[in-house]
Amino acid sequence: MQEQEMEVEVGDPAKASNLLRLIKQLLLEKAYDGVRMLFQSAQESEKNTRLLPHIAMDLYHDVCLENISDEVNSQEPELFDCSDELLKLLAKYAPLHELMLELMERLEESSSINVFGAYLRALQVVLQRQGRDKPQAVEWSLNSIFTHLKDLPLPEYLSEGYDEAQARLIEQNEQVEDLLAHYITVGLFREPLRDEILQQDVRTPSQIFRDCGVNRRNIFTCFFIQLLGRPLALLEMNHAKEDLTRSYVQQVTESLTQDANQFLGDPFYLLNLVEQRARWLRKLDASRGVYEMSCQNVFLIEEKLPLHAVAMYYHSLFVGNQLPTNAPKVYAPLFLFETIVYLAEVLLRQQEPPLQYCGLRLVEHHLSTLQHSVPTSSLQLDVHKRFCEALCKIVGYSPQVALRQLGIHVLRQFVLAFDDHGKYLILKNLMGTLQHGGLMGYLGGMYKDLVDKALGQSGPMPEVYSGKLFREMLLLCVCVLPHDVKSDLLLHSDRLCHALNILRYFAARDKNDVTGFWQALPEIEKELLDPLGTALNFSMAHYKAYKERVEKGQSASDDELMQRQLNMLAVNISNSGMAGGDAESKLPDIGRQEKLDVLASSITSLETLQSLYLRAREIIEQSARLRRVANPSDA
Amino acid sequence: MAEEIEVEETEDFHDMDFNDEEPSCSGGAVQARTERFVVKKWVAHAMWGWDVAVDNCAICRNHIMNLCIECQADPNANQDECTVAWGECNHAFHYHCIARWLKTRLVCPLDNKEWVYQKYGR
Repeated sequence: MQEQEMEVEVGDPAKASNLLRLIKQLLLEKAYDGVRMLFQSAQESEKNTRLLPHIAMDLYHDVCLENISDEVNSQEPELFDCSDELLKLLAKYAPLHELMLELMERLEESSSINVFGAYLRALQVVLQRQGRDKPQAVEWSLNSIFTHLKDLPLPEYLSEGYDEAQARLIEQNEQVEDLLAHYITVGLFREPLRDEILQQDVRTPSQIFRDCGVNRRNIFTCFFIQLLGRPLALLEMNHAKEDLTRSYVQQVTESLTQDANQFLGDPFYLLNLVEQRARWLRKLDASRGVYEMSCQNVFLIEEKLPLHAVAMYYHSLFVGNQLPTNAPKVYAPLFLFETIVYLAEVLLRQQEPPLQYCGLRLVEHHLSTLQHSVPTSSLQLDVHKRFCEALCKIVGYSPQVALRQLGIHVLRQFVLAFDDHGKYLILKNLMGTLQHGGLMGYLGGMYKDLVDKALGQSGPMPEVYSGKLFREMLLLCVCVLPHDVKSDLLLHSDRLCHALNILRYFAARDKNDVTGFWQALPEIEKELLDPLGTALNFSMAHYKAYKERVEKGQSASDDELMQRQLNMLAVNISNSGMAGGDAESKLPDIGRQEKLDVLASSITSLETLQSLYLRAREIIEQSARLRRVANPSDA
Repeated sequence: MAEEIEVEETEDFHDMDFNDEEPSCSGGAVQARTERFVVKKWVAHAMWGWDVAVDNCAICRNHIMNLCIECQADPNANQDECTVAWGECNHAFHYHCIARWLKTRLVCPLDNKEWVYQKYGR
């Protein structure tokens, strides 16, 4: 009996070694069905699987590692498939951590989706064996997956921006198709794990507060949301509300969002942390033991849960209409709005237009659902200032037409969402800080429209649309000639056109001086209208003379001046941070005919400005005359 | 015998065509090579301008589908009379705005081309 036991104990490793040799021999002979029979037949499987723990890693190194490659897949696909099946089988019996480390490395180095998928299936088995133990190992494994996805090659235009037509065809690109295939494969990988976690990793009744530490459930939650960020987020410009089709991007995004919803329970939970992450940044101090990874709340760690990915999660929830029906409805709309502004600001500060686009859509959605005005007190949050700065930068300088168009729309809706005093403060501060003439003019026009609406209503006039505040807006922000008579009228033509239009509007509309316009008019004439008239005469004379000299071929000195002006504008564009290229580069020289075309266009712009100037003067005089007739005592 | 002679003649005809093609092709190649040109210099020109891409009337700066600024300022204005005018250059303005501008110059304020009304309406 003792001899029999000794034989069995001694024999097991030997049998395992024999099994390994047999597998190799069968593979060498291309007897793939024979290999499968070793583990699938009723007679052999039980015996052989008991031997696998002894040879699993040897089997991995000798067989799987060598045969799971693109070359084998293309030349001997049956060998590849068989090795893939062996890998998945041995994953059940191999030393857990040793194999996990190997799989992490192989996943990051995968050269194709076939190889990636093979190792991912094995990792799925390993993580199921791992269970709730050692969540950090789980995290490292998921990081390997994400690293691989992040490093997949993508077309450059995804980062540079693309138009709507390109967006509709984006999934036709081979690299994009490959990326989405990888995401779908990851979806298959996480599905059984998700179900298992939802059953096992449940908060116990004795546990009052949410466990925000490093545990399996939280790690997977971060993983799901992280996947919603780059590079998947770069494909999000394809979102079209009127389009009834469901693209692969949408399917992948929805799947990830739904999984994250289930794991979080309350999808708004992360919103509670947004202000803490975006406003009160942790002060890292290694000497005191405060470093990035030392935080006890895993959802506060940027490396684990990038803030832009959180923003994309809420973009999917709200814009993508993925909010679960059982989502809590106890959150105050103002709280939701403010936290969404934080997230949108994060997206707007990203360099990639698709992420900026999502930020705009996210805010637009919330602005469209607000039921009440946002109180002025909300402007005490610094995020509104940062948001407006980022938004105006996009509106003014983005090379993407669609972004500029959407941006100006969102800016308008954002301002209108506040109460009257809030509207005034935003407009005044923006016009006092912006350098973009067209945008400043547009904002001035918004203020004029707000006053127009207020004038049409019964009841007392809000203080921000009349009296001292109205005067300040006009004198400090709207009716401004930057450099007096020496101002470059063409450079500031947008702003000046708006100012003149606003003046003629108020002169015609407010004959009863409800706003206090006529009290401010003398100073407006002194600060804007009089010097503008002089500047117009000078500029018109200058450009007409210049044009005449170009026609006669006598414009060398003027050409140098024009070149300097153009180069200055080029530098300004570069300094805005939106234009590419070298700031030191000069614009190309233009020919005689082109110069004449430019000058003709400039003269037309000046004449347009002059016609507005004369019309504004005319209306002011007419209205003043009517006021004198109506109120002789004032005269 | 007569049929045999005809066949031979046909073959000769084809051979002759084939022989004729070669010189033509060769000649064409020679001609193509002699007509080739080399780009020695390239100067690029670009025109640019500031823009805020909103559908506004470029004259009064109000939205094109809203009233012009003077009709906006007149509570008694007939809104139906404030229409939009399109030019052949595909630029649109409030009719009131462009009509007043055309008293100054008969060109489009945006592209400086001769203004020709294309249509009115909203």
